[in-house]
Amino acid sequence: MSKKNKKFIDITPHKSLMQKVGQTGYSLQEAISELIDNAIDAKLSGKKIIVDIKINSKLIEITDNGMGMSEETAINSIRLGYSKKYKKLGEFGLGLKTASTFLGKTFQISTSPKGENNEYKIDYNEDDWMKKWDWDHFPFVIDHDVKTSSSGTKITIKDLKIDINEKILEKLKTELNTRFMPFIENGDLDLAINNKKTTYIKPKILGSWNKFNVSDGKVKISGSWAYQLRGLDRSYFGFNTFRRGRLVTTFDKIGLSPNQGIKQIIGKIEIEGVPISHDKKSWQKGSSEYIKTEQALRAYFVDLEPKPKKLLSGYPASSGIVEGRVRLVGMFMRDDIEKEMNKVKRGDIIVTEMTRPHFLLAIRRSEGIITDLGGTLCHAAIVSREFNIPAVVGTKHATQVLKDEQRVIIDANEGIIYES
Amino acid sequence: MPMKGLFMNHDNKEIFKFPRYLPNDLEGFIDFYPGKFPGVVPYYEKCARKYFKSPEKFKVFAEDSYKDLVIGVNIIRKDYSKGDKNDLDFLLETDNRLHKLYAFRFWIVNYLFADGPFHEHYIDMIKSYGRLAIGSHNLDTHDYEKKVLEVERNLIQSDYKDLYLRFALNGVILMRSLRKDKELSIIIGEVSLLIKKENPEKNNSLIYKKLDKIIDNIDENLLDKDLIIQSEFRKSKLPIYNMIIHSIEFEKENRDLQKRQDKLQENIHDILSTIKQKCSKDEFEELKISYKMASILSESKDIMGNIDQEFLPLWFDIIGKIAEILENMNTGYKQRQIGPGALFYAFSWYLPDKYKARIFTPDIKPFDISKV
Repeated sequence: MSKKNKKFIDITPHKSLMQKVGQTGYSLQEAISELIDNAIDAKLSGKKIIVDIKINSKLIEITDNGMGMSEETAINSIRLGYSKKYKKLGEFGLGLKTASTFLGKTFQISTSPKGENNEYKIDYNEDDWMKKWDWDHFPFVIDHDVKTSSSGTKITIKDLKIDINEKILEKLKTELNTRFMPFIENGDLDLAINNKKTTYIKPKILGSWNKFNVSDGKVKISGSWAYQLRGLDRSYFGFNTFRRGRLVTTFDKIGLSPNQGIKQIIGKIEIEGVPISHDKKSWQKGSSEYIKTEQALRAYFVDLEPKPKKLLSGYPASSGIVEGRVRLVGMFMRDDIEKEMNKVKRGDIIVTEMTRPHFLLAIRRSEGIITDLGGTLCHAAIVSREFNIPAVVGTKHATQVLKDEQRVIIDANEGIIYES
Repeated sequence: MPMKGLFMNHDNKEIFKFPRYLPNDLEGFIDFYPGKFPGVVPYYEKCARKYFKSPEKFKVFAEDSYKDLVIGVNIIRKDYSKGDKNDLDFLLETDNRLHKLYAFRFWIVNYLFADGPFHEHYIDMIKSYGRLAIGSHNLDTHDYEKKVLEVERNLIQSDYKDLYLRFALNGVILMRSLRKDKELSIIIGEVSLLIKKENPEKNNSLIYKKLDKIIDNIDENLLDKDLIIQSEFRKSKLPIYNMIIHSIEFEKENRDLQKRQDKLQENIHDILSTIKQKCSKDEFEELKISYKMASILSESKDIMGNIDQEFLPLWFDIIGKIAEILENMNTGYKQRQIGPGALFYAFSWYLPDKYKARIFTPDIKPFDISKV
């Protein structure tokens, strides 16, 4: 007969866990976003949150003017998995640690809470942690009677584990702009990188934004969408999805056909009621709430997905994709050059047999060029390349097929003209 | 690392064959000239082989062709001025002489070489090698393709400034000079406001009046020579007005263009240096030839275009006279928009039979500029 012996064991996590949480596959942008999320959570009511990021090859420093952390909150901020932020951005209690340990070997949290003269400091160093400190024995410094003009928190990360170069910095600016677009747009957040305030760059759209709301039980979807012209990367369309104002996914095709043509749907949608992964990088796609969301969006967008008709094709002489109004201009052997030239207004698409140098003024005013005749070295091809105007040449019949005032899309990357 | 497979395909005989299609051939000469002037086919094919890898020699060939064009047009114009312009026989003969000169000295450079497979081949080479200038490091598809287009654009455009670009860049010099004068600077501001109005053409007379003040004070050297020729040819100031309006309206854009142009040579040098590291000596030599050839073909097109001012008025006068005679002869011919090839696609149906036969009889005599 077997003998049972029950005992209680110590399952305190191994100390290396602190380092391991930083190996979750973040990108620089995602890691810094985690720290900005915390700053946004600390926003003082009625006051804009200002987040200042200093970044170079030696350190990353993120400073905010939020409410700061009380002694208790500061102590808990270094604890793995601790969070009181129910229904807020930092609800998992992992972001600060995973992001900071991903970015560097050492980090310091220094925070001054509103209404106090104390400053709390936590210094984490990977080597010291393994050698000197433990889960129940970690240094915490309180500076009393600190004269601070305002509350806030500063995270300083040193001994960086990633290379910082100009390209990465550029990418960081673009992505942070996209991620925090809702906060920047509505004036809740000012974000500066290396003393340069970021501004939200609006995507180029056709027409205007359309607001919409869809709900199914607990799932609530709201946002806006518009049409854009396809870019060089065909997959850059779909939605930026947000949860509580925080970006979860970009170019999410949820509810959309995976392959859209020259005219694509883009949008930003806030989704409520769908669970997300703990790294907050994706929705839980297997959940019934996600499936409901996908179905609701599919039903809404199924008839809105555009399928513009191809009208003509030709030689792609100068790249770019533009939409505009057709302006038929007779440039070939004409005496009334000025009359023809005056037809062209800013943003028009010139449609002509072939371009001539005497029509330069009209060409510069145009947004795109379509010609009946031409190859790589025709005047239209040369001039459009010089002035960076998208052009499709040698379509043979453009002046006969296209009508004055008709709206068309020129895909001068592929050499195709579509109806708009 | 050398790239196998890209190297110039010497066995591709298509490059040396007379083209079957030309993208810019509005008048359809590709269908007519090989029949009318059979000598143009072997002449082109011989030249294509001769100049295939020799951009400098091609340049000389294009320049010589242009010189012959000028000589030929002057001879024909002189003869035309002495002849009877109401004599259909004489008009048709003169028209035929112009066609032969045009086919062997203009069309071959400006269309057969510059728009045909010969040029296309070099563009393909530039595009293929151009990709080597871009490292894939840290670039997503969008950025990579953007870079590819940028490199292609720089290499294909080359550092040659064509007529359009010269017009635009001259605008920068013109504006710089005009801005120095306080009074003219004020006029520029006023014109600029008028241009920005909803329908600027409604204000044309007012704009022109203001521009006259500028023109009165302008140093003629600041205006492009072609512009002055155009103005004299059209007996109108409109080409000059247009040039100044363009310079005012696109002042900032032209300055940016100048900056881009200033950097272009440097960019091209950098692109070529990067590619050099990534391919064999022979391959790089091939790219250099392709780059030079594409640039010279572009330049040649511009040089040949200069003859338009001489050639077209003479030719249009002749075909205008033929059209008039045909109408008066009650042949049923009706005026329509026509180009230099009118003889073949418009007039031939209405001409007396003996002329039809003459037009469609192949001219097998070799081209000789002294017998033009």
